[in-house]
Amino acid sequence: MKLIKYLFLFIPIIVITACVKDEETLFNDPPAIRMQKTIDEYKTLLTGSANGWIMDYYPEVSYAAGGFSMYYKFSADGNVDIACEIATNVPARQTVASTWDIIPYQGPVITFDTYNPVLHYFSEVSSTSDRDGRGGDYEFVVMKATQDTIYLKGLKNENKIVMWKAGSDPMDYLKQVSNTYNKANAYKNFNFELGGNIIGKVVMSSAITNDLLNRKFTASYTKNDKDTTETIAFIYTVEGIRLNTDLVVNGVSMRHFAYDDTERIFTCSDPGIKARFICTDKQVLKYEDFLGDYVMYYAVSNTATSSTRTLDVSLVAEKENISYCLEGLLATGSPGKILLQYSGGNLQLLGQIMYTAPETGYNFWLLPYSFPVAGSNYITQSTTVGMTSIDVDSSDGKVKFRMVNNGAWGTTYSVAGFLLRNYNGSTSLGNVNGKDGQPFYFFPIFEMK
Amino acid sequence: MKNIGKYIVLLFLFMTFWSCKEEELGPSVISDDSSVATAFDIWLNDNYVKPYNIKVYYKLKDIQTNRDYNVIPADPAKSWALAKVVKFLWAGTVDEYSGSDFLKMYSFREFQMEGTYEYNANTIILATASGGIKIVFCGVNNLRLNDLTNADYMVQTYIKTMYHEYTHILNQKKVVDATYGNISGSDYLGDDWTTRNTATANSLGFVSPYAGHSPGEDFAELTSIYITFGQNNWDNILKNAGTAGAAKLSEKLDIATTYFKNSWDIDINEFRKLFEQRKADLINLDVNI
Repeated sequence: MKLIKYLFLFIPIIVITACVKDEETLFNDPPAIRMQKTIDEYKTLLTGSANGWIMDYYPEVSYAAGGFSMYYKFSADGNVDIACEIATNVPARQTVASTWDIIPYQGPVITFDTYNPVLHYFSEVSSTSDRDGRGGDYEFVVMKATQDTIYLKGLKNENKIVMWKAGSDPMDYLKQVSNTYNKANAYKNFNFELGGNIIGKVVMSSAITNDLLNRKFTASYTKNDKDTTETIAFIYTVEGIRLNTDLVVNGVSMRHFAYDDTERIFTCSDPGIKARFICTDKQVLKYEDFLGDYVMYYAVSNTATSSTRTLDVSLVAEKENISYCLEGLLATGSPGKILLQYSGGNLQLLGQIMYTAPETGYNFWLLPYSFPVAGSNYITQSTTVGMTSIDVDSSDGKVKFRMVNNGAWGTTYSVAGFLLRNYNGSTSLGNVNGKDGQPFYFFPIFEMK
Repeated sequence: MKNIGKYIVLLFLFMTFWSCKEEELGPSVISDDSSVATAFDIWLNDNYVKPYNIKVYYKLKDIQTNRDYNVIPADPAKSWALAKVVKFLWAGTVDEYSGSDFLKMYSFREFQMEGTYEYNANTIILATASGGIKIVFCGVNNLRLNDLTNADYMVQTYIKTMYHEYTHILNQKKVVDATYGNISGSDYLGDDWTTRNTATANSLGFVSPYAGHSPGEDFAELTSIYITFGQNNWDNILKNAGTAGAAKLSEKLDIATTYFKNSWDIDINEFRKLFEQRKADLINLDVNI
């Protein structure tokens, strides 16, 4: 019985504990309200910048493609204007409107929730063999924000991404960044100089994946008597480049470099640091130097000894700093585009599908065509075999070059030129005549008008 | 002593109720979507929400999608055009035949538009359905004006799938005669259905390889293909099926016809005529991208 009494005594303790009303709360508001307040604050911050924001955008997992400068102008009505320093689905620096929002997830997440051909260019997938496309995020967790800088993390790829308040002319900023890219991307090989001594080499990536020239370099040098190699992603700036992570050698941390195109030297601009990347490549023509009207000399036989026919053609910007459209080769009214790539002062003209008929799926090919091999001629449906420019010269102010085999067809075959032909898969549907009534273009030579 | 104990217990009980009384609920702390309604939003409200109680999400929150795929948001103009086509060929047909109240009772509740297809290692997903609630339309940004008014293309890409899934919604409410499953009995392969090609499937009395998955999928395949692919296609299937296969297919179609008539007051042939008419009229639909 006594036991029961004690039990009764316990009851009030239990009841009181269970119903205690005056808990100290860590926060004044419930979580949903706090989240909403934070979201509202960020919305005010984003829409409050009169000139919008610039983002150091890193697509691809582990920053593998390097960084690209983007412009955003957020409006309170849910619209956003976006532009990118490089050509995406639209030309470089063209602004396209879509919508944005901030939603709660792992903290506030900025999302771009209707299609924007600039931003979503970095995320769109178009083949089963590359299921993440350019690997770009379009949803960003806000990690931290100050009045003029917002620190984000890509929701899927978890790349750290920084956005800062744009100055008075953000589009001019993008233009200047493009200019740096246009100048510096022509060169690959540099000596790495630290404290006045050459300690190794820096090789800029020349890989173009999904039309993005990868913005990273591989530095190799001797560190504590060990040969060291590291690859670092970067983004172009008005002055030069900014590395995604510090390049640390013998206790010296480098992050910012200014580029001098006359000397072709990157000089570290971090205070008190004496480091340079000195170009060892000879001076070459820039992407934009090739733009213009040309006379193209060519032959219609792969055994011709000279290129005597001529056509008026033009190299028109397709993807700025990446590719050109070669106009004037196809018959008038013929659908299709012939693209050339720019790489380190040279042009590549590769086998390519110029057009796919939407109704039938038939492909119109620019087909690499060989020199005779033991009396026979060969063609290949390859998009890596083709021709590359040599003897590029602009000494009289006019660009001249000719195209030769790029060597990608192995040792037996050598590209002499191209054939225009329609295909249903691998079945030929016959040759197609070009501008001058012939399906062949051999031994092309270009001279700017 | 016993009594005192009782009173004490009662007192505590009273205190418990008093101290733990519920607070009144205030307004929700979760804010509504604050974005401004566009012309498309208003159209969706008038054409999907009000008549059919279906919400069309054309904005994409990637974090709400299947994380196995990398998808991007859809172009609103193309989403709008597709919403018009889907209304014309699916919801509008059901509405015209059975009335909008029927759709309010029995329908998907959400459509989600996605800009790109969902890419697997070897295959591309055009549309998915989950739980009889949500239909995901993939690859919306790839649609061109002449695709949208091309009835065969739209049927192949999205509309047949919608009728397939809609059949599931209906046959989960009212069951199909169990004898349906006996017609092909041991020929159902479950997840191994991909090992069979169309010709073999037809000869065994299946309208498609996927129909060989299970009686439920068989029924949805048969119904959707019979309604959406047209009489010529059906005749071809019967021809390919041979005598034995065709007999099974006809027996299955008879059960389906009876089921829709008795359970839903739908004459499947009349419904198909109506669908055929709308297919023919699609070319005149103003999709207005």
